Amino acid sequence: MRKIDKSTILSKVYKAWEEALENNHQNHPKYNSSAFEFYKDIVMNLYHCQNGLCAYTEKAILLNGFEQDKWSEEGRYINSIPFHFGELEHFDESLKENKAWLWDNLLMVESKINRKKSTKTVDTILKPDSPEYDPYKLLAYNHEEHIFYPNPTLDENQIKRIKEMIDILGVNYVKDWRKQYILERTKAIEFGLEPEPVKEYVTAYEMTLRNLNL
Amino acid sequence: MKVTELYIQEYNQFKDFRLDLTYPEGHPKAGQALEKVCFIGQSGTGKTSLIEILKETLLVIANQSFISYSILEDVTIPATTSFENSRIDITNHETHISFDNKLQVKFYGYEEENEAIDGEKSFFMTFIGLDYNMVNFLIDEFKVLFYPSNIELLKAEKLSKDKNKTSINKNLLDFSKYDLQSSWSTINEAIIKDRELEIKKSLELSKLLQNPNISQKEVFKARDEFLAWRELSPNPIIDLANNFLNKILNRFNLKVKTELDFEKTEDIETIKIQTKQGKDIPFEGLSTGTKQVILTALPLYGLKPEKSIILFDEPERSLYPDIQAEIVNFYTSMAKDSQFFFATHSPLVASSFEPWEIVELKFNDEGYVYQELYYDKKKGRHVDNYTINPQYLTWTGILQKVFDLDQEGNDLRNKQLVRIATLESQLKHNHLSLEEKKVKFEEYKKLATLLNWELK
Repeated sequence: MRKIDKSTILSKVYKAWEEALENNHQNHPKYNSSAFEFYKDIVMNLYHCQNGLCAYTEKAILLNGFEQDKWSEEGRYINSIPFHFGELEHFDESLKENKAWLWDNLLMVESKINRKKSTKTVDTILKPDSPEYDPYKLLAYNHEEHIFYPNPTLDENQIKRIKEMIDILGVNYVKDWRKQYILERTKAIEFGLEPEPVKEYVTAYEMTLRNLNL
Repeated sequence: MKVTELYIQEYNQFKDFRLDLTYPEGHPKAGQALEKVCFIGQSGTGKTSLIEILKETLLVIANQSFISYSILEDVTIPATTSFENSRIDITNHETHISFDNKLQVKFYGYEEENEAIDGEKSFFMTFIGLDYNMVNFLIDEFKVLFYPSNIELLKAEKLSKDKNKTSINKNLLDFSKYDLQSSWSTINEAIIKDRELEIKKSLELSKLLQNPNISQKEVFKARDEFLAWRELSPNPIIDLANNFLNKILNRFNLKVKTELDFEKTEDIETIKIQTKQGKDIPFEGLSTGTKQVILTALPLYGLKPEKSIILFDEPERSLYPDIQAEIVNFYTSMAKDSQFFFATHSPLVASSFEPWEIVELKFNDEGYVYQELYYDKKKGRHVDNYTINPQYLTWTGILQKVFDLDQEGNDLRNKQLVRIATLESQLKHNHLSLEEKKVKFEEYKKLATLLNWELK
């Protein structure tokens, strides 16, 4: 689960609207999914920040990238959303009631992961867009079974919290696909070939290379 | 006669739906009809519908009253059929079915003024490419066997006891209508004839022995004659037992009883099952799965269908995984030069098929069904372009790649995998005391066993 930088704001109209609500301590309009005025803007802005990958699993969920991508000068997304497997996810589900459109709480994740996580209570120790989040400090990677686990050098309490969050966010849900994807590349290196560029599962791949001293 | 293509113009979830049922380029049988086909897909995608559409169209084709030498020209003829018990009404939609002997039959819907009378429905059909040989074949030899998913075994037993034998359509054996157990005795004349003959010969022998004036020489002669007869005319039940049924029955610690001990008239007409140790088991006492295997296999064995089409909905029903993995080969070994269609939810059943023999059904965005292709369409339908082969995969692999299951196990497995990875890492890298290490290692070993975690 890589660190996500959400500071690039393409959806300027939405962001100004959201900031105004926050500054005035107002409740957000009720969550109504894609019927919402800025829905497309939020989704496409998030995809930009996440490179079209699921925020938790790093699986590609916007398959054909950003070819159709178009923003107006004032900052509105003016095309339809390309085919994708994602859903707009509220990291902290409890904020959905009154802060449904809070930029800080929104991510794009694969729909299966969203359903699996559902309304489970979260711990911000693993929040991919939080400024403190660093996967290389919090997580370790078993490159034989292709699973993330808590960095064993942390204290027992942190290990316990991270273990819980790995499960809630479904970080290992894609392990069998991730395994195939990474092995195809590490095998190429082992055989002295150029591996295909890595677009998905970037963190797992990087950690595998480090584990294997490649 | 095998189906090479099925086309459905529009029917429920099918729209402009075309199935290529031939071996792909690069295959030794390229272009020929598939010998076996497996329909898979989520419930509701129409696996059973496809089996039933095949059944209904083939039923009409196999129904000799439609076939006559007068339709050798490619003409469209009006026809009627009764579909009282059928879920599928072929008179309602356009369907084309093509065969490997170049025969194509097209069905068209009926017109308003040609409405149904007395449960019979009228429709139009066109035979294209029919010749005299085909007509003869269709009338005399062509057979379609249909096994529904809900074979009513209990009903079958009751019917059999009532001796209520259903008459059997010569060309179509629809086991949703016929009683499997009683129909088997009608089908398997060879075994019954042999049994009757054996009883007759035994009686002759016994009469001879009862004659007080018979010499020892004559006794030996009669006995040798009896043994010579048995040797010259092999007992078909031994063939059935050794070459077919016992292969599967032995898995249940059972076998076919080959000796004839004649107690009741029914003994001639049914086969008896024993434990491998030789203890008779009444048919009612057999498990559902065992009954299913025996009753579905008997018509295949009895009819020895050739150039026929055999339709099976959910062959895995009530069967344990090891038998599921073998059942397709078991059934297909019993019919020569025939085409089998199976609809299944079982990854073990699917593992018996070559990739091109699998028809995976999925819904598209508009709610219509399409066939998921296992090859890159741009590269073409060639064996080298297939990326999935169920015969090469592990069971987990089949579940994940063919049946689209995301996870290799229960959600809890992933949670425990994180736990064991943490333990392993702590054992490797942390400076634990010897005592702590011992405790953690015990925990690690126990969990590794539970997870089937390979120690590397």
